[in-house]
Order: sequence, then C-alpha cells, then structure tokens
Amino acid sequence: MSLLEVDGLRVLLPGAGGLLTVVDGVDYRVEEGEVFGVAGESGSGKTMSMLALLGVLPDGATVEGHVSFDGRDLLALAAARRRELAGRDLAMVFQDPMTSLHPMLTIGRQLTEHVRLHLGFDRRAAESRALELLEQVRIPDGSEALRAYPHQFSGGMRQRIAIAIALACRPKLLIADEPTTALDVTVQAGILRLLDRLRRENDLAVILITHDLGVMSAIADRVSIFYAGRVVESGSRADVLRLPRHPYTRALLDALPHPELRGNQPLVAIPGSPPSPGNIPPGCAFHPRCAFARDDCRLHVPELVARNGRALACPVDPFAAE
Amino acid sequence: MTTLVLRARSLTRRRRIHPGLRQPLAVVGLVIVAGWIVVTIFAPLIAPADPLAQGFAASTGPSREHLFGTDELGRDVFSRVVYGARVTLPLSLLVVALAATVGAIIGAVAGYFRGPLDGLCMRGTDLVFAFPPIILAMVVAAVLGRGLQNAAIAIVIVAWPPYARIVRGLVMSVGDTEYVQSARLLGASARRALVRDVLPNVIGPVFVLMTLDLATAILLLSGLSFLGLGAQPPQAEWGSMVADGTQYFQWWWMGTFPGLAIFTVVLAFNFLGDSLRDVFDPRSGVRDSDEP
Amino acid sequence: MTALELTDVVVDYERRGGGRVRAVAGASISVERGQIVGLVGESGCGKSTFARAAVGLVRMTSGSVVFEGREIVPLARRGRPRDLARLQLVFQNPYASLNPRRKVGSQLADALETLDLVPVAGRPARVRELCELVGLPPTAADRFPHEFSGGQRQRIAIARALAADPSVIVLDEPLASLDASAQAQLANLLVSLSRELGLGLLLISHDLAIVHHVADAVSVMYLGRMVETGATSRLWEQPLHPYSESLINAIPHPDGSGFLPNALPGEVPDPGQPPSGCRFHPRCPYAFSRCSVDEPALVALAGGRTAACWLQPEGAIAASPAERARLVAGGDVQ
Repeated sequence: MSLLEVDGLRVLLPGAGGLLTVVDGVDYRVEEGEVFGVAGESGSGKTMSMLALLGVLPDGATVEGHVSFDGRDLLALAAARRRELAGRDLAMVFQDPMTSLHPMLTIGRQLTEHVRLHLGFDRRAAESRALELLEQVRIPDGSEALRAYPHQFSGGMRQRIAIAIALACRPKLLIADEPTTALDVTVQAGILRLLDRLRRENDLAVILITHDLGVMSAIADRVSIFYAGRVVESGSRADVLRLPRHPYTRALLDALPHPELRGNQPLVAIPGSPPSPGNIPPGCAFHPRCAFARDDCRLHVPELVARNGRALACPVDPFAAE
Repeated sequence: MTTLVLRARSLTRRRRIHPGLRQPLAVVGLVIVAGWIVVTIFAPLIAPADPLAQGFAASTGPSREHLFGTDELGRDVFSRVVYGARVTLPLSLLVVALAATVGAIIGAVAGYFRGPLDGLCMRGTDLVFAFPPIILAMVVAAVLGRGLQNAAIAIVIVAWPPYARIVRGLVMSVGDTEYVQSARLLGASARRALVRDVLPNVIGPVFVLMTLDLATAILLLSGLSFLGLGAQPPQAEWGSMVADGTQYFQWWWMGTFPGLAIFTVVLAFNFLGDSLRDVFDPRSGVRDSDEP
Repeated sequence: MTALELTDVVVDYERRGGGRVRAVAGASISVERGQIVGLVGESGCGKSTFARAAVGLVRMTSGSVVFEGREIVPLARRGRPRDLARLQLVFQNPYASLNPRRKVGSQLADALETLDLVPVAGRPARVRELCELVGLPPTAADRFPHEFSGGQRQRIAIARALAADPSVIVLDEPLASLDASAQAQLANLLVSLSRELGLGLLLISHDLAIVHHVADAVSVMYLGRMVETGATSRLWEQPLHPYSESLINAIPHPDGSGFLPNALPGEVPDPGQPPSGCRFHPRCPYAFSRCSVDEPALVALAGGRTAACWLQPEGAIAASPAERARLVAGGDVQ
C-alpha cells in the first residue's frame, strides 16, 4: 500500500457561470520516502489538487474521489481531525515565503507553535527542537535566529525556515508548491540540495509541484505531468524526461532552452496557451495545440493507461516507437 | 505566425444586468432615490396643499384628507414633507458636488506638485479634520448667520477634506504605476498622463464617496436646521420640522414623518454608494496573475 | 554608431529609515542597432535600476547615457524630449504595465498621438498593424487588458513600445512572469522583431538559459557592477569569471539525468554594505589573498571578452577560473 493513494480526484470551484472543474479525475500514488514531481503550467490544477488533500480549498469548493493517506480515508475525515493530521503528518511549503511566514511573530514562536500544539511539547523541549530544525536547514546562529523576525532574512533563508516549520512534527509527506520559483537560481540550487538531503535523512516523501522541468529533473524520483486538470503522463523521472511519450510533455521539453543546444536557434514554441478552467476543449484538452491530433481526439477524453510503471493519456502515442 | 486563442473573458462576465444592480439592496436604494426625485420634481402636483397655508384644523392626526396630519399651525404635514424634498435633495446634491470639486482640485494639486504645496494643502485638511463635523458646521453657520445658504456653505467647508485626501492619494499612487511611467516614456507630459491615465482611476472612488456623502450632507443640513441655523420658519424643511416635532411629542406625526423621510433618503444613498463601489472596481472578477 | 551606450553609471537611492544605497556602482554596456544584448544577474545586482537609468526613469548619481549621439536626461514634468522616444522600455509585470481602464487600442495609440507619427485618419490602421506585428489579432485593439493572458499582455506592452518607432528597446525581465509556452513564444518574437526591424534590444533577465538562446552578447552583473561580458556562446561554453561559472553550474537540466545543480554558498550581500576588495570574494571558490583587499577592474581579455577578476589578467587568452587558479597556486600569477 502506498503512502498516498489518489483516485479519481475532482475539485470543483464556484465561478459566476456555475461550478468549474479545476481538477478533473486525477490518479496517482506516492510511496514512502520518494520525491514525486507534479509538473504543469497555469490552469493545470496542480496546486488545487494538493490543497484538496489538506482541506484548505476556497469556500464553496466541492471535492470528489478517493484519497487515502497512510491507510486512512482523507476526504472522509471531519475537518478538525483533518487539520490535526495536516499539521502533523502532512506538511506544505508554499512558493512565497514572505506571505507564508507570519510577519509579526518571531521565527522561534513560529517554529515552536507547531510542536507544542500537535505534540504537546513544553517550552524547553519545543525550543530545543526548534534549534535542531534550524540546524537541519543550515540556518547559522540558531539561537539568534529564534528571536529574529522573517523580514530580517533573505528569500532563500525564509524558505529554509518555512521548510523547517513544515518538518517540525516529523511529517511523513511534505508538499512543496513551487518552493524555488521565487528564488534566484543559485539559491534555488541550495534549496533543492537541502530538500534532497532532508528527505534522505528523515525518510520523508515529498510532492514537488513545479512548472520547471529542470527542477523536477534534479530531485524527483517519479514525475507526473498535469494539463487542464488531468494527468497526461507519469512515470519515472528518467523515462518521462528523457523519452517523453505525450505530445504535451514533448512540446514542453522542446520549448525549454537546453544548455546543450546551440544558441540562436529559435525555441520551439507551443502554439496557443493553456486553457483556463472554464474553457477546457472537448475530448483531449490538449488537442487544439497538438501536432498529432486526430479526429477522435476531439471526441473522447483519453484515459490514463498504466503499463510497466508508466502511464499515458494519449491514444495516438506518436513517439511509442522510440 | 502562431494562432492564438484569446482567452474568453474570465468567470464573471456572462451577465446582461449591470453588475451594480445585481445586488437587491442597490435596487431598493435606486428605487427610493428615484421616487424622491419624482416627488421633488412634481411636488406641486403631488402635494394637495400649499405647504405654508395655515388654514386647516390644527394638530389633527393622519386622516384621509391629511395623510400625515396637520401641525400646530394648521399646515398640512404631507405637503410640507413633499415640498421639503425640494429643499433637501437639490441643496444636498449641490453641496456635495461643490465639496467634491473643491476637494478634488486641492487634492490633485497637492498630489501632482508635491513638496511645500502638498504640505500646505494637507495641513488644511488636518485643520478641518480636527473638529467633529457638526460642531464645525455649527460654528461656521453661526458666524455666517442663519439661513439655508449659509448652512450650505458651512457644510461644504466641512465636507471637502476627504475628497482632497482620496484624490491626492490616488494621484500619487497612480502616478507611480508602471502604466503611467510607460505613458511618460512614450512622450506624454506629466499633465497629459494625469488626464488620460490618472483621472479615470480617480473618478470612481470620488463618485462612491459622493454618494455616501450625500447621506451625511442631508443629515448635516437637517441637523443645522434642527438647531435653528439652517432653514428658517416658515420654510418647510425636514430638519426644522423634526425640531418642531420634538416640542410637540404628543402629536407624534409632526416630527415622525419628516424624520422618516430623512431616514429613507439617507438609507437609499448608503445602499447605492456601497454597490457603486463594486461597479467602479475594475478588479472585481479579474485575475492578477496566471496562477490558478 | 552605437545606438545606446551607458558608461560608468552610478545610481544611489535613499533607503527607508535613512542611509544611501549604491544600487549600481559603475556599470557600462552598449547596444548596437539590430543587436540583442543580454544583462544577467540575480536579486540585488541592480539590473532593474540600471535599466531604468538607461531610459531616464531614474536619476543617475554619475556616469553617462548616450542614445544615438545624444546624452539623455531624466524625466521631468514636461514631456520627454521627442528624440528620446526612439528609446523605449518594457516592464516586467504585464499585469501592472497596462492601464486596466483603457482599451488596448487607445494605449497603443498613445505614442502615435503624442509624437504625431501618423495622421489621425491613419491611426486605427497603424494600431491594427502593431497588433499583427506582435502576433495578436487586430480585434485586440477593442478589448481591455484584463481580457488577455500574461503572455498576450506582454505582447501588447511590446506593441505599445513599437508604436513609438524605436531603435532600441530595453526590456526588464519581460519573460519572468510567464508560462513556459508564453516564454518561448515571446523569446522568438523578440528575436524576429530585432532581425526584421533592426531593433537593438537590451534584455534584462535572471534566466541565463533563455538569454543564451536569444542574445548575441551578454553581460553578467553582480552587486552593482559588471563582472564579465562577451559573446553569448563563448561565455556560455567557457565562463571566465567565477560568478558566471557558478551561475551556469546552478542551472538545472531538464533531461531526466538527476543532475543536482551546484549551490553558491552564502547570500548576496546587502548592497549598502558591499564586501571589501572584490565584491564576490566571500562566496568565491577561488578567492585568494588579493581578492579581499583590492577590487578588480573590468579588463579586456583576448577575443573581445572582459572580466573583473584577479585571476584574469588584462589581455590574457581565455582560460577558465579553475585553470587560472592552478596557475596562481603554481606561483605564475601574483
């Protein structure tokens, strides 16, 4: 049994025209201790699907499907129980550490709050845990740092602190939503190395949400590609990124400037832009932008077919021969 | 060239009714205001009697001939309330328009030129803000002398600073936005950028403030008249009618109906102003980024 | 003639709470017509301030900016001088650089009106032309900015700059807020505009990979100064400054190989308190004694490249910092 099993997850959000489907039937598994990458552009539903796990969707949202975490049915839990679980065994780190850290509380307070609430530590035990965490994320001068406020740190350090807070109660699963997007590339490299080390040291599973395939390639073990609220391809990192089978994955990789490619060649751009939740094309959501689309791509939503550890939602499968 | 799919206008646009009017309170407000405007314009046709005529039986309660009864001098209260609208509504509209204009000009000057001129204007607003509005209005009205005209002047003096503040703030903040900077780079003078890019963003908030301010102006006007500083007898004005009514509590209709008139108009403008705020916000329903 | 030349630009600004900060501490760059020059740097390097100084939005403390032979002046209350209109800037955030209350067509026509480039009758046609030039349908002119995606809005911003018939456009992180799809499209658009219209582009970005694809020449900036310049492909293959090298090594590769990029130790220092000597020395893997004492100047090296590093002596042939460091250790360079 996997640590996290998601089956047929659907999330609907209220919009002026009625309910909009932002996540449209998503299946995946995350094993203990592995880094699972979720890649997608805007409108792909990658963030919403994670918020659904934590139960922090906007008002009026509907969630359908089945989610099992550590053997428990997550969606069936009452809100209070789920919050308890969410703070302790499931943790999340967001993109912008400036807004995810409380600007008016000291780092020490924010670090100790969790352990005192969820694990019942007293003040001294909580503080020593806090120092331990700061050391794990390589923040120098831990005891000074405890008394400092978020604005006194740089973006990279704030993200490390956010990670430390997330790890306070020794969660089994950490969801990192674009953790390095707002950071400089040299700082990003540091955070990626940190995440890689932490997950090995703590046997932590990580769901890494990002639009940057290079970031995924750096630390993910398995990868899934989201498009317009659905999973279009998944598999091991090497398989999906070296030998992509879905036209969208292939196009996404081609659109990136590869360090090895000669400069001054035009980037192969994908025509059009990703659809917003209210305007998903019928059939395969990618078909209007796909170079290999056939007539029935417009008619049937492709099923995610799993085989040999790889899953693909494309009946055309134009690159299968490679 | 690539074919682009223009993203269809996001979530909130598929409506035919104007957004502001979708809220029921706004509709109620609009109906009430429209009703009073009709009353104001057609007063002579609506009022059964001359508001100043004292010929009727004094102090009689509401009846079929006198819907709101008669006052202690034998005047038809209904007619006085109807004609009172002719005083209150146009005057308060005028007062608010004047205050908004004066305030906006001062605010725009302060925000545009900044420096010592800005300081001077802001000290002016501070001076007015230091006093509770009704007290200051009373003092000014008392100094200028009794009468509706002086009361109006007093209210304008009390009401202009919020407009100055808002306009100054907007001129300064919008002036720093990247779209104004772009306009400047394209050759627009600061003045042209002010007119084309800044002003349209200023009109909305000013308008909302004006609508809400109308309620305040009406209350101030009635308040001053209540205190004897505004409308003078025998003029039919709601505030002074309420004042008279307090002297004759046993004849409840004399003060209650004019009071209800004030109440309904003020409430209506408040409803309208609140929904106008939503109408003028270009961001309602608009995304600030591409992220879901 | 060099279209845009910035020489030894210094920009200070007042920090909230007192104190002056030197955001740009003497930086130079030049852009020819039809050339795409990239300026790469991370947070705190001053590249955005530099970009604004280049077009006159920000006042310089010292240094000069010469555009088509004319020294530029910062924006004053009057309109910008006409001959500067051919120098334009596109901002980073496409959600903030367009007035939400005005139709797209009206904003595109701004330059046409102020500069009187086209008679009134011809303006609608020119506006439609501008839309097509950036790959938008002509009907875009009748819509409002919020009806478009980020990538499309950035195209509108570029079209607005093009309306002034510019010879040089400075673009401040134009791709940063965009999706991968939009980034690739826009990058290609910029290259084709530069080639077809002979535009000089100064492209400011933190993304060295994209700049590598788009720019002919690149300058790398760190803490207010240029640390290396050269032809893009040469710099990419063989960076000469330790910072450029770190920057390239930190870029992840989307090839499924599991390559974990190398991090740079430490943090970017506070621009208000730069390190002594070479600004990069506290984080430099090759730093030696001189680096903490004297600040190296940007010197010319063989092959039209420049670098500001004590490991790279003036006029030397290109050799990587690692090779040079070995020479230093061997006692060949003082």
